[in-house]
Amino acid sequence: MKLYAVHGRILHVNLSNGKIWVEKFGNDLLSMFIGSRGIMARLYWDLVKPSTDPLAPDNVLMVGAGTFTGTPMPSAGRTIVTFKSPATGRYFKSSVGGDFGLKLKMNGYDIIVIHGASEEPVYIYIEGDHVEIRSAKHLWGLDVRSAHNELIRRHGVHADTLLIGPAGEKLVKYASINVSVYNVAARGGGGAVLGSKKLKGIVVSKGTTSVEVAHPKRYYELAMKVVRNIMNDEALIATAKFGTASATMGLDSTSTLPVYNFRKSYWEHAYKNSGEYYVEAGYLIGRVGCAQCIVSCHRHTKTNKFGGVDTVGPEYETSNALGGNIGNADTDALIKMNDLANIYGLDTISLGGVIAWVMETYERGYLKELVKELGTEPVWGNVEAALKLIEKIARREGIGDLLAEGLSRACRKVDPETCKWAVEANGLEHSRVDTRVAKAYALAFALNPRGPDHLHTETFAEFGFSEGAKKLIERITGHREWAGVGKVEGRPEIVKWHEEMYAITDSVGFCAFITTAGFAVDEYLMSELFTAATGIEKDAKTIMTDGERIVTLERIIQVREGRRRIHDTLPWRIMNEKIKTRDGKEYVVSAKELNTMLDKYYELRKWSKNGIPLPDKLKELKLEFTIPEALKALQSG
Amino acid sequence: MRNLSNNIRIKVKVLSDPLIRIVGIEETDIVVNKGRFSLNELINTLKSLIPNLEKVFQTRRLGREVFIAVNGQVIYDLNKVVELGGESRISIFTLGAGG
Repeated sequence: MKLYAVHGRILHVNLSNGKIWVEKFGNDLLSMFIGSRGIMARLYWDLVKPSTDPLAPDNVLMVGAGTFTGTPMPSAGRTIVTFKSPATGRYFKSSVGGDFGLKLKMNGYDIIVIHGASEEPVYIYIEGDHVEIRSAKHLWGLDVRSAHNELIRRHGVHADTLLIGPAGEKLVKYASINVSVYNVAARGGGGAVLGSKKLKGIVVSKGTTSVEVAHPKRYYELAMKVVRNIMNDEALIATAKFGTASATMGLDSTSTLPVYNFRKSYWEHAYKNSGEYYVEAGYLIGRVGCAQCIVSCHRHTKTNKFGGVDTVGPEYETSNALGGNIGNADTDALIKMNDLANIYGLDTISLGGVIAWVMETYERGYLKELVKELGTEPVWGNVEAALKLIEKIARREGIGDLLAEGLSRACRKVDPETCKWAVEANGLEHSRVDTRVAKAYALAFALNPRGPDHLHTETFAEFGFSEGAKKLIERITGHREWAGVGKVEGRPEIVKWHEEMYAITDSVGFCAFITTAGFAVDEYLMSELFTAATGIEKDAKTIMTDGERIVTLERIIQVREGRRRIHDTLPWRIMNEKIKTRDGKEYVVSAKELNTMLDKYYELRKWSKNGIPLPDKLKELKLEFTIPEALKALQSG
Repeated sequence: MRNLSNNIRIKVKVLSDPLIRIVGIEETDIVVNKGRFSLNELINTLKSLIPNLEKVFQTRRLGREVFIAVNGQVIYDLNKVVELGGESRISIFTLGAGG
């Protein structure tokens, strides 16, 4: 049967021996795993052993374009990157915007798999069937922007880049992978995986190959419906105007805004970290959109301070991680820090978590020698100290070498006592929402294969900020009143739905904003879109089952890598220190509360009490090939 | 009674599209007395000077569905006193999505 929407072509590049080949796939794989994220999880099962060291040549890194990418569908240009993470030691997927996925498809590929490691710095150049491994000696050591500019000079303005910066080269555990400089697959240390392979990046030419959809007329009608839904979604309109940092004041008002390293959940200076303020105060000079997107949530910002900065961002997570999280209400400094993180190739969430930990650790009487090294005290709101720490981490200089290892390793080395305020779990620094107050987020973060992070299962509807959010919570749980923070009812059901929807969203290349932050596409529309695009019949139920298959496969991959119930947890501070909200209430995620939610969630998923998918469920989801590993895990406990 | 010689002109911005549709303006200058106001007094002053702004506060809860920032700081408490001077800025907006 003819393939539609995708090419069915996976490009393999082995950097150890220079071998390059193409593997084909058909509708059977596409129907089971929907697209990039799902298919790459399936490939990972075969390609990455549980014993593989994330920074060894036998780790693979995959880059995949969505099924709808390259078709006339709005907000469907997201690219997924999959690898074993040096931060968490397990399977990891990351998502990035920009144009790379679109151009990858226009060059005739859906997925690239990078194997092995080069001895010398290289980059991969892709121009249709012409794929070449080229020397990157002249690029090694360059920051992302300089390397991008150099490559664009050589390959033309219509080419696009996926690159690492100095942080990736230095194997910083939270080094990012950047697309067109400012779009970032930030989390999990994918940049360090590329660094370990001596791969500076990938260049795709503009490409000339298109994909067909199975039912063009129907697809176009549905695409127009998506456009209308986006334009009628109040939250997405705000995101277009104020960027992702338009979330700041919503979180502040609901006391879910983590500041001072999660010691407060609201802040009198929060507005200075908000998208509305960037507009009001004149920092915004333009909006930037990813391929195919009509929202354009990225910000083009400028400040004349710090020698002048002209950049993209900061996003919400950055605005908080390097803003209130470290006591920083200086918007000019925030823009500068964001730019440094971008060009050095650092994940701003982890970076902000590390700097906040340094500041609290210093305040509590540790790391006193840092004053000499930094020339200033690393105290809350000291942007000079923060800027110096960013430079040191990116280059692994002085204290930066320890901090480049991430919180879980750094805190143990300084003093295990300091791990109490190292706000991380499973090796990943916590994203920027207070999960003590937002309980669906708490459960989602505990279960997330990435660690305590929002870009795997964003349960934004929990806040009930919009009518669309309230309706979604009602549709999932039957109770409209269960929308709202501080509530525990129905959270396992809410998380399960979002996990499945997110897996489909990632796999087709949609931006999660239109399915789980704004609500322009639900599972009914999604299934119609998939059928019109690929010709493969789906309905709302079957496409959510496909989402469940992907989520379950990712779980069993991690089970094979050692994950069990004990790892479905949250940072010490979140589970042991109460947070006071604006209205004087106190919240914590107790072990009892988390266990109650986990029990119910495992029951819904048909997993064992220890969080292992049961063979019957694996069979039902057509994941029989994983059953031997499940049985092994069930026997070992 | 406030002293007219203390009049100052300050900028008020309506940032969010749903509010712009209700109020009918994106930006305006208003003249008020220099000095200290509670947020409640300030909102009443704004309502009296900006047509249709009252409708916003009739339908949206302050601090949940509509926000007021004065001089770069969002104020939630109606009794909170703010100081208005020549450089003051006021912004009014609703919530957005993010992540």
